[in-house]
Amino acid sequence: MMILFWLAEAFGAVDTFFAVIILGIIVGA
Amino acid sequence: MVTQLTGAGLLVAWGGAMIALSYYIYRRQSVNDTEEFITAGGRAQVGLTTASFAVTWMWAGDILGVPQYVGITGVAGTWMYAAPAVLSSFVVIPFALRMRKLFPQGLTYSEYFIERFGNLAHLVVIFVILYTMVLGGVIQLFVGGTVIGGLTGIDPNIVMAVLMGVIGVYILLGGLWGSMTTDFVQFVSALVLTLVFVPLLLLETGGPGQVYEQMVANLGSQASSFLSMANFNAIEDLFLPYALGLGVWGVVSLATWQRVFAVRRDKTSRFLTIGGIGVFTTIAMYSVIGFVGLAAFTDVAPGNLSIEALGLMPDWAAILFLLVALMVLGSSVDSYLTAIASLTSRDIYYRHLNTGASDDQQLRVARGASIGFAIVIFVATVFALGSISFVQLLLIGGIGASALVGPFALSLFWKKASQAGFVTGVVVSQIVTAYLLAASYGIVVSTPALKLWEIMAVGHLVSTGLTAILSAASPDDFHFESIAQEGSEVVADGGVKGGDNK
Repeated sequence: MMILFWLAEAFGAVDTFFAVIILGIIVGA
Repeated sequence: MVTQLTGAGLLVAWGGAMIALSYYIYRRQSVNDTEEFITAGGRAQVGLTTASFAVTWMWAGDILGVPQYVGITGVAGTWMYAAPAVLSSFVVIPFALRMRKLFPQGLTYSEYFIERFGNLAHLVVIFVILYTMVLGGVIQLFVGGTVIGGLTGIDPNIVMAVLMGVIGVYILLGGLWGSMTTDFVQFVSALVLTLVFVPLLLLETGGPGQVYEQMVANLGSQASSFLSMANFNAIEDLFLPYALGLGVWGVVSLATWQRVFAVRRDKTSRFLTIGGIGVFTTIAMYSVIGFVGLAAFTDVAPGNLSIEALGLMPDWAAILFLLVALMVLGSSVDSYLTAIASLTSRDIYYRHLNTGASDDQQLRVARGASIGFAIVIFVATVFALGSISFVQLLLIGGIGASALVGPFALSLFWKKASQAGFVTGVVVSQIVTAYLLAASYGIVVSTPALKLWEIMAVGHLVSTGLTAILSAASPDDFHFESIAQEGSEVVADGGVKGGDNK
């Protein structure tokens, strides 16, 4: 027994990843 | 609750703005030939294409679906919902790079199957793509009618008719350019939802610390599992069906391929990577709506968690949320409608019905199809609203992908893959999964009752296995380099055959 989510979303900044997800699951377990 | 008058005003404002924007881009980009209409001339910049790709994948249903996952399984619902959606962007990269090398002159990826196999394989692929794209549109419109109708009190059928009417008109004008430009505005709107309204909702309920404490208090003995990222209890029901169906949906979706062919060739993997990872961050922000719901309510069903939680926002925010929901919805439906118009014009009309069709004739058919299929999607959604649940609809949408992905991969990377193997694999897989799906819901037959992820897995195994076995038994000997040299005015390096300019 994160809301990082906001910063990552703020992605938005407008001649013709998997390691972080797995780590998050382990740390957040 | 937003009043009917306010809701109608929002619909009119949204429709007017989108049609005006599409008319502007129609004039600016001179959308007067089939190539501009279907592939944006193959020269769209990476920013526009990434925004369009990402917002097409941000389904209106996510606003309801992600909080529902959180309501069922807690914080782990975030990655269980987001990972399959992102997987599509990752899986499609080798397909996209291979196709842009082999088939630079492609307007729709389905045309590749004529060059690789022949007309029979092409017709089978058209069938799968067409119903998958129509289902994609129906899924979005289903949510739009339910949510917008529910929040405003307007009859869902009227909401859906207005939505499809507006989208049909602006696609008729601008084609893929119209779709991608309106997508960019819709992308910025979706960012406003996640970066402004979700934090606002969080602050309305006391901030992250207060939400955490309330979640622990409300969940009681379930708190330890609901606040663990490693809660795998619902993995068979929530994660695996999506991973095996929608997780590879991007490979089949013509909307994805239109953007693959639209972006500059040297930026193919970049837009798929940034767009895909961006979809994950957006979906992760939607999960916060679910956290707030779990903190604020003790007796709300997971499926209603999103609407109840969003109801905590002040009235002005609810009105703006509705406008954003319209934007997110429009971005996906317009992409599927553009894809269907392209498929009708190039794959059905030009390739099978009138092989001597001029560019003007193809463009007229594409524009007619954008209105014709807007009506088809509307009628199908009206039928679906009364006879099927949203989850059933969503999962049926993934069935086409389970039949096509494996055989498509074999055809691209294995010269021995044959038309007989490909067609048999796809057709038998579709029949088997349709039967198993009917049995799982007790429609006509009732055995064997497999889980949804097992049905998806059977679909993949049958299609890929049959294609491989039959091709090995009677192998083709295909020369991939022959594709890029035949029947095209654009040669393999992206330049023009016989000159520097068209």
